[in-house]
Amino acid sequence: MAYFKDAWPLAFVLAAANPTNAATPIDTDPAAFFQSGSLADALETASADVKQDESGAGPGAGPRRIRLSQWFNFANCFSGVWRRC
Amino acid sequence: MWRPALIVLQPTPFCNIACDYCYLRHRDDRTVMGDEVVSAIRDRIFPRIARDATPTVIWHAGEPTTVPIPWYRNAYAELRKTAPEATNFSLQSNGIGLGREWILFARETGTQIGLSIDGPREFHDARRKTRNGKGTWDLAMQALRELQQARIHPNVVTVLHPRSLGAIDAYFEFYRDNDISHVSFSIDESEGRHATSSFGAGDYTEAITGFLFGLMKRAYREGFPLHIKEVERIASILAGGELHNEQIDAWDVLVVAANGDVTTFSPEFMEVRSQAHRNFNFGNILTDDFDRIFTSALVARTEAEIRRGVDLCRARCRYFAVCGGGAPSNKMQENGSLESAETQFCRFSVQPAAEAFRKMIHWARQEPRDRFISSPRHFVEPRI
Repeated sequence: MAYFKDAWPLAFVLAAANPTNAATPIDTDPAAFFQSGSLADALETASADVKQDESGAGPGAGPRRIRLSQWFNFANCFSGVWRRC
Repeated sequence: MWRPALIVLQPTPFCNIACDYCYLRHRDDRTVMGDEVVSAIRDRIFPRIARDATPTVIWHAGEPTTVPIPWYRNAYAELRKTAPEATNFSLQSNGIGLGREWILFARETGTQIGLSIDGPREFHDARRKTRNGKGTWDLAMQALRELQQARIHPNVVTVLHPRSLGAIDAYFEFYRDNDISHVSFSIDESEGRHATSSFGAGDYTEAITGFLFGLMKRAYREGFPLHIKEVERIASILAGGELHNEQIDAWDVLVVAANGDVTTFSPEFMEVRSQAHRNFNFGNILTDDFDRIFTSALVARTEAEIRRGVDLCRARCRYFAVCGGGAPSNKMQENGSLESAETQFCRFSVQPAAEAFRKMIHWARQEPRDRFISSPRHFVEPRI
């Protein structure tokens, strides 16, 4: 899994997506925030932005390519080992 | 068909160092897993696993590298005869004996390496000591460098103590300057023979949250891709990934000790004492029929108790959707019952990771958005 070393952490990608919509109640309703899939839209937004960058339409277009599957593959690497292992 | 997520094999209970917080009860026992145990795993356990399953086999507890490499060569040759083709092998080490031969072996066999390094020298050496009481940081770091030179980038496990929490910058700079990008944090817990955690009865949830958040902020600002496993797991669930707590379903996790004893659910059950559960020793693969172990009444009763504990978590805890019901071994050790909910592990591990991530999202709203997207200093094209 050496190549994952160079991929961005999923936490950063979601933070960078900077969700501002009311459906993501970060401050007002943490219980709703901590629902599975609550940031799926934000991730879609980030993916769309990356695609735009890849096509050269966005600022700083270059050799950046972050694929959704990589983030989840990364998560899967650890899915069986989430404590001391 | 059976699709275990994790198979922990303990080639020896022996460990060559003596960490202050070690929870292993038999770290002085030099028993090595016998050929007959390896054969039993090959013949009675692995053939039950679905052929297209992708289990992780981890060599763990005590220190696996105290067993000579030829033993592993034989074990790999035997186990691969019946293991699913996509089985991943990994090894958790303190790095003390992890020299060139081990690195070649890891490359040859595709074995992933996890290294235990408790951050900067002063924090590591305060607790991770040789049997003569000397620090082990130099030896662990030498192993890290040799692995990196061989282009093997280990996952680093760091155990936190109260004093760590005020040293965010020192920890971040340690990871950054040593090119450690994949980190997992454990807390010093009372478990097994380690009866008293350095966290005591204090409430450190906020302090641990601040520690994780502080690390992420610096990493984000500097463009260093620091993956914190506990945060990544929660982030992946919030992004729509699957929630799977493998510690609550019987045989999602399988642990086989050097003498053939077997447990499931939490790997740490090997060290937990409970008369009502026969110390979570569910059988021995040399003396018991594995079909009977697999379907035993004790396992079923234990699973039912764990399920009732998970129901309590579901009803009471706002983090349930990103946790899945906690760690049964901690419930037993701390609360004295599997049918219980919150533990120190929840407060000091799961909840801080979730809250640190929530703070990260909130904070990122105020940060210039192009900081991340347009200037990833460390980003290079992933090799697929």
